[in-house]
Amino acid sequence: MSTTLCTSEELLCGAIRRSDLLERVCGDEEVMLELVELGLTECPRLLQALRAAVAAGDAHTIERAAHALKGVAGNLAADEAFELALEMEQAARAEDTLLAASFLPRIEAAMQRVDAALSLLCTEKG
Amino acid sequence: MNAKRVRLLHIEDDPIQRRVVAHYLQSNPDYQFEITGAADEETALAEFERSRADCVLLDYHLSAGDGMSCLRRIRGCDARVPVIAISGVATPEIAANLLREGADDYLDKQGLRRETLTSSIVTALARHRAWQRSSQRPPARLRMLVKRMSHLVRALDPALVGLAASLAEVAALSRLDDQEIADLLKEAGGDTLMPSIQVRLLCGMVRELLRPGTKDRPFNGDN
Repeated sequence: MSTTLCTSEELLCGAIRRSDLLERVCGDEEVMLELVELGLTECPRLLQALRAAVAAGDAHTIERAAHALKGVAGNLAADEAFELALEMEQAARAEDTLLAASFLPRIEAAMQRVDAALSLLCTEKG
Repeated sequence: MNAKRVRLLHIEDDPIQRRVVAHYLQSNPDYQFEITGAADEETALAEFERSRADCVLLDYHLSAGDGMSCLRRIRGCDARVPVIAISGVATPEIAANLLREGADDYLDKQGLRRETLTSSIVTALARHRAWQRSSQRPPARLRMLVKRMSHLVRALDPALVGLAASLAEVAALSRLDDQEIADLLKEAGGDTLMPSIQVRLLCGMVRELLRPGTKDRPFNGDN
């Protein structure tokens, strides 16, 4: 049985609100922790893909990478990362690669907080 | 009540989204979803051709491949399987394009909730079952009707080949195979003039057969 270490309304590490994440899976804590584990694997991979896309400077590749990151952030109730990825995706779709690339440092910082929040949630698994 | 078994192909490259969707669907008591995941267009097509899923859930944005192209290729294999498209980019243009290419429904990924998803899938499955029922005319009744017609046509003057052609048309519409049609027409080679009452009867039978929604009720052709 899992032990809840965080209060439901707490914004964990300034990145993920536990109550929103739990609501995504209709209150099922076990499934929520499965998502957390998946997030710990997926987030670094998607962030790396985003860095590579920005380095390549191709608007379409940036758009796809930002879209993928946005999807994961949305499912993890990571609102700040979601909003930043959305703005990056929209800039890339408008083929403004410079503007799109300018979001990368803020996304990296936001994803660092997401990673910390996921790690904290993972400790609930005990 | 037994849960209905539904084989669902979920085309989605985000494993977290796949897990969320699986969780939503597994909690439905009326359906037992057997979900196969595919992360890219080519894997999805290979899986669809192999398993012929009962329903497809398709993400518009795939990291390898393209949701629209995937939809077209699935429709090329199966024009009727329910396909629900999901996208995180919910523009009216994308929605319109997906529906025009044959998606049964379009859902916004950000607002996706268990109720919305299951309602969309259940509606699409119900529509598909209704189509299947209406398109599968009961063979027993059709064979009986066509056999009666063949007896009538056997009594025709050979000049009345139009009626024989009607028989072929009816047989074709009723999905009899080519050999059955050929056998029935062969049987119809009589040279006796058909009484007018029989011609009218035959015409009535043709009309009845071609009427949409003909069901397997007892035929009272002798009245």
